[in-house]
Amino acid sequence: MMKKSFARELLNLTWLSLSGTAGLVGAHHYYRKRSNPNAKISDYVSGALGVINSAIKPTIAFNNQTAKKVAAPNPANEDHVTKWLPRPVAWVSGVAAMPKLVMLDDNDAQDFGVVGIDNQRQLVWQTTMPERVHDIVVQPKPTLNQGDDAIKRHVVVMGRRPSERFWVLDNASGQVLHSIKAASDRHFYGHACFSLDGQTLYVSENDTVDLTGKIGSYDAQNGYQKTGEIDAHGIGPHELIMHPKGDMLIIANGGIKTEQASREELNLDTMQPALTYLDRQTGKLLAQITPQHNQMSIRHLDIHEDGTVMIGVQFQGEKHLNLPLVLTHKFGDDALLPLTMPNDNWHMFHHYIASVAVDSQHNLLCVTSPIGGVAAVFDLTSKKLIESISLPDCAGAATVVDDSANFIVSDGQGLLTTIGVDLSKQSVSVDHQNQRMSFDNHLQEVS
Amino acid sequence: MKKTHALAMAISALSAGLLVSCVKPNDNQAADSEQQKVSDNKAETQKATATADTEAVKITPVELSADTKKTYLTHVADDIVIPAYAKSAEQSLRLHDLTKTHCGSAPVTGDKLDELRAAWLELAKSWSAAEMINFGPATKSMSNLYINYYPDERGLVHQGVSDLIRANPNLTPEQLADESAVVQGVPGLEEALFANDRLDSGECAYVMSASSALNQRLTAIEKNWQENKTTLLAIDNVDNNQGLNKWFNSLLAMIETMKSSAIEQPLGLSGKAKGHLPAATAKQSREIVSAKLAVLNQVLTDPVFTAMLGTKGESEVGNKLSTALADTTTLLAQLPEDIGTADKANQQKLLEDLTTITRVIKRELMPTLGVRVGFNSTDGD
Repeated sequence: MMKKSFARELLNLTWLSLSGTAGLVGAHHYYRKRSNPNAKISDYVSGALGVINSAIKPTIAFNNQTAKKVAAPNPANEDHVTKWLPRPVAWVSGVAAMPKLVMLDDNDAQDFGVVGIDNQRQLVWQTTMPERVHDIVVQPKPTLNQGDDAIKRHVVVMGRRPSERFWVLDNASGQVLHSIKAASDRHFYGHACFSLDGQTLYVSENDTVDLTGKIGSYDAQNGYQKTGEIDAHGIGPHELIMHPKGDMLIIANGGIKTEQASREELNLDTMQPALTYLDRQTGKLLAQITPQHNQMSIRHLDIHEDGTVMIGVQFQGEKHLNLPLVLTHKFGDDALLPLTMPNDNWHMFHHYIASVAVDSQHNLLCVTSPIGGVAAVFDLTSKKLIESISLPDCAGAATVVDDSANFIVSDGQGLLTTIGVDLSKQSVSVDHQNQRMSFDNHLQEVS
Repeated sequence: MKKTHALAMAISALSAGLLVSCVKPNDNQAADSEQQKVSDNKAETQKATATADTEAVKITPVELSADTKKTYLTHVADDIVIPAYAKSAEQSLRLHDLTKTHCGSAPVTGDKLDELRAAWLELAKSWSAAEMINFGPATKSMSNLYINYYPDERGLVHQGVSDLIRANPNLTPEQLADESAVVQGVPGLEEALFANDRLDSGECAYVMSASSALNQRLTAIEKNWQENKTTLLAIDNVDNNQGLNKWFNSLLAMIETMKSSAIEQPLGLSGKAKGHLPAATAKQSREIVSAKLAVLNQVLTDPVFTAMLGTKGESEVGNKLSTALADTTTLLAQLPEDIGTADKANQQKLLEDLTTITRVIKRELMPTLGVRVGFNSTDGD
């Protein structure tokens, strides 16, 4: 008797729970559908399955069985192939050698790609690219863009300099939405940044006639059509970032004239690198600061939420000279300030910083050097090095949004390494995750 | 309210919350693949073909057990790396001792100078072989510049050494230790021994100090490897192939750097000439290139390695490599000591042969071993 009553209660409970769940999900879907016309009720099931899948199989292989394939509106065009899984993206990175891509012939083209990575450091999507790519820029806010079916957040994939193209992908699926060709007499120089409202993309460019630097602006709401151009006030603009106040563009003018075909540097003796601040609306030059040595090429930047610019330098001078390679600057200050290294050992980085990533919350900076085979973490409060980590061929660096670590570093041997910092002990801990691909120069967080 | 109803409400809220949170991050995501449209006609379209991980790969990767990897990496450390540094240290000591003997009656000229030059060449060849290891203590913080400042595109070594000797006619190893990398190591010694036909007392003091300082560096590197080989080659952690990646990428970097910096650029084989041949003052570039090729031959044909590639040491990629290496060695032997004086056709052929070796290593050998080809370290961007 007791057993029967319990079974009835259990059945009742199950029925009521299912009805309640269905009702609540239905209500959520009703409102969700209004902002996303393509939303489907089955998304809840696939989303849940994705979470379960990643929880029980954190090292799930990104293969054809689990990945979706993108439709082919024009099969004649074979520039991109995309595969994706329904999971949220935490980082995006360029890839110099996709898993399948060790070919025996000389055609390297399909080796290149872009990947979306989840917070477990597993691949969410991968899209092949027709050429090697450099920076991947994440749109700060989603906008309804012309030609898109729904609100999508974009990632912009810049070709490696000098390049004639950049591509706009959907952040969630990796689909290529737009392919933008450089204007005549212009080449893209590997980096870009969005305005804070996500509506304008600024791109570092090169005038191929007189080799002066330019900053092109592109309308994200209108298919990334070029809407204007301002002078970069320097040669060889590389990375550029937006000031947190949203009014200034900050440009790393590397100073190097590069021959297109050979990538040979043409002016190493006379180069004049500078950190340049421009009014993003008018193009007015607001400030320009030069480093202590004219061969300290300012190449890579990040910005602290307090407005301090983090600068990664690549030194182009004589090998034996020892000069600071990680600098900071705040608008209004006269000079670039170096961080400090024990025994002034800047040679640790072999004259080459590939990426800088700042953790504003904890006042920390991570820099990478693939040639030196090290990633290093600095305490921005003391300006001192906390620790360096041996990571051969590491280049990409980004912050980690959750509390699991502070930074993530990618390398050419397929490792995604998280770096956690214990400020009280001034030490770091690392955790490696291996992927079957060679990550390219830059890794960006999708916050 | 009945307990069952309250519990059902709680479960409903919880499960609905879970489902909602699971789908939320995907709201930015594109619609299902079959319904997807890329409406912008400027957009590149996408191909729907599957991209299997192994598709189009025409090689057969070998399965390497953890024990095999450990055994091989231990062999690399004990039988290749450490002896390479030991030999360099030994040769630097030999040059030092010989200089000490001959400089007792400075100036040194004629046969005695030739003996010192021959000792230098053995040192340069042994370091050339040891340079294949482009990680670890020898390259940490660019300390290898103190052993081989190459290429010296602005002629800093020539000027630096002569200025140093003039300013310090009784130079000691301690004084030299504080000097720039430009005036130290193998190129500095080459400058002192080959730039003139005699070695006076100041040059003698420099050669003794520089060879002594070099010996200390090389001995320290060898000791460091002996003490830290497990860490340096990740022998105790072979799961992610870190040690194999390091080792084979190092070999690849060595041959690629030699190809571009020591042959292609100085000989101007693909544009304007840049830099200089190795051992240019001594006019012994062939010996330096040969030494590098010899070590590559040693590494890639050694029985422990070939056993990894296939049963009974037989493998297509192994055979291809040994043939390419033999062809290049034969070609090199036919060239003059100063490769710069060889005819252009042979210079070009040498470059092509080295390109073939590079390609086989990069595209066949490394994938066969499951080793990833690094790229950022040679990126320059």
